[in-house]
Amino acid sequence: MILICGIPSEAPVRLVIEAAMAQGARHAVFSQREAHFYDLHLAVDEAGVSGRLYMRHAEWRLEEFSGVYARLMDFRDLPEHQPHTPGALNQDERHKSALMHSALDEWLEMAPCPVLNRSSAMASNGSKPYQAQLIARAGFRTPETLITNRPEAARAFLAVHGRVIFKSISSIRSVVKELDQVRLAELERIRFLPTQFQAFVPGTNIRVHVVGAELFATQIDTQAVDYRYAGQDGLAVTMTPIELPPSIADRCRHLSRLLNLPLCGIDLKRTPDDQYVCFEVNPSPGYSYYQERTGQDIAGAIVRYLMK
Amino acid sequence: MKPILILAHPGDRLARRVGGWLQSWGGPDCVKLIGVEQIALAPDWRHYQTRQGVTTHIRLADGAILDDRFGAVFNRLQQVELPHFAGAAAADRAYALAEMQALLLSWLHSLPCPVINRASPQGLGGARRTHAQWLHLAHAGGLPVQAYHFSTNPRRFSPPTQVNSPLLSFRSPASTSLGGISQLEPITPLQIGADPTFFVEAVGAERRRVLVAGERVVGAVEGMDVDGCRRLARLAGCALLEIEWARRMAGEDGAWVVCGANSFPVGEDGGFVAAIGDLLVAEAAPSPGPLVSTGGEERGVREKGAGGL
Repeated sequence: MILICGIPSEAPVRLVIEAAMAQGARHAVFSQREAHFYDLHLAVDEAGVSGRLYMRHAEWRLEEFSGVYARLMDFRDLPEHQPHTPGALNQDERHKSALMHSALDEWLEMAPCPVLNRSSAMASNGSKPYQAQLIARAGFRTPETLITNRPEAARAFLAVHGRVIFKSISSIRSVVKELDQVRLAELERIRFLPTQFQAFVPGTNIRVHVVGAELFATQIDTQAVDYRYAGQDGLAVTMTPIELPPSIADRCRHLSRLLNLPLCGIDLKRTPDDQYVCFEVNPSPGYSYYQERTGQDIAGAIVRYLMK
Repeated sequence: MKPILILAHPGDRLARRVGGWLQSWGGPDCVKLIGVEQIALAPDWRHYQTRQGVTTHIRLADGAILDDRFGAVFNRLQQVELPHFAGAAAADRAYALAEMQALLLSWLHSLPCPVINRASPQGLGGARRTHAQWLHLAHAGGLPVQAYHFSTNPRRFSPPTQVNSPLLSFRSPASTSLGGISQLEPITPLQIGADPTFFVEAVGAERRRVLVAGERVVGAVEGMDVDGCRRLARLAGCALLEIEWARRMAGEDGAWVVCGANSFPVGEDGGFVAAIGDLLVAEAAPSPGPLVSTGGEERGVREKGAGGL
């Protein structure tokens, strides 16, 4: 029995539900927006961890679940949690939904079954330079990086590398922008808060989705600096499934294990001299964007992994 | 021996006491205490990640430079504060705090010297866990634990009735955090209804805090599993771990059970302070290999990072 947690209409969650149905995999869906209707019992005692989950007139022992796919958004951002909006929960319902989410997350951290992914492992993405150090440990090259609040240091970095991008250090507001003449004129602002600069790495974007031992590599061709936002700049994106060199594929699996993220989206660039540079690892990848454009059966792999 | 760096919040009395102990032991030059705001507001931050590794240059407002001269770090950082963003919009303030937190984590992780406790994505001062997660880890380490139950609706799911080990009931007033029982409000059995309720095994009033400092266990008494305490610290990836014990009220002649743990010790007992001081001195002294193995993917406290400070 697989437990699928999230917003069932959201594409990555929907595709896992559809894949489970296609594979005939028994599954239950924890819909975040209905959490205040559900019930959970969680116990830690001399027998270890145990519990029960009640959803939509059905009940399961937590030990029944062979694996969990969890793509949970912050419950505080759910429409039902916004007071004074149509369909808003009352205070008691919000309280119950909040505790339900906290207890579910707590159980996922302790559950003996595979979980895609645990929030403790996903937290490595909260600091990109921290994660970059782990990426380097896995054997990948990472972009040359400077985090500073000294404008002169940023200018010197630009002088060395010629072309530089900047992006957030944390996972908030994670948009990549180029340090162009307009931004250079505003550089004094970094004195208030250190900012992350990276040498621009030329080459072809590749997104690798790792699901356990299965790998799905997608080449992305675009002129945009950040292909995720190419549409906003009116630029086209094409995606093509590719095979990675075995050594790079092994490195991706190793990185996935190192980060304790059996499901992850690894952002690579293949440089003109055929080197692979790793930018970051997305711990809760919106893989549907790639699956729907390439036909790669990533959702199917997720279900297979959780059924093992 | 290289000096020891203590990174702490202004009100951290344990950090100050450890600083005092180190000064008594090795003189004023053997320890430097730096506040979180001094680091966060440093006018010169340069954190480089290159193919050669990670290097960081920090110049504080008083001109002091943090370089690679430290032999060990006593890391007591928790929540970053950025007073110059106090008047900013809430979203901007949250962004600035997340950015600084992310930078500090990367910096602490990159330090070439032992950092006690190691910073973690779950907390700068070490991985934070909920009450249930600590009990689960203690159980995994072979320690007896105080029974814990949480039910969103005791009318549907009530914990088993334990005649020999009565359960106390609590509710969470407003907080969504499951961090600790101390944050909860006790309620009587008559108040238990269909609302979310926590249940914990009733234990005796006598409590004991035990500190694991490397391989040393301080404060344990007869009946406590000292090796189990070390195992729990290793499982948690902590060189320093405070474990709270209480006596079971019935069933096993008042046996000691674990009823909580904290990777951010707060006990100021003289024995704790000395044990932490000893550990820091031992870690700061040159040594050929790991002193404390934390297992799995976690690095031992002596293991070096990717670059220099």
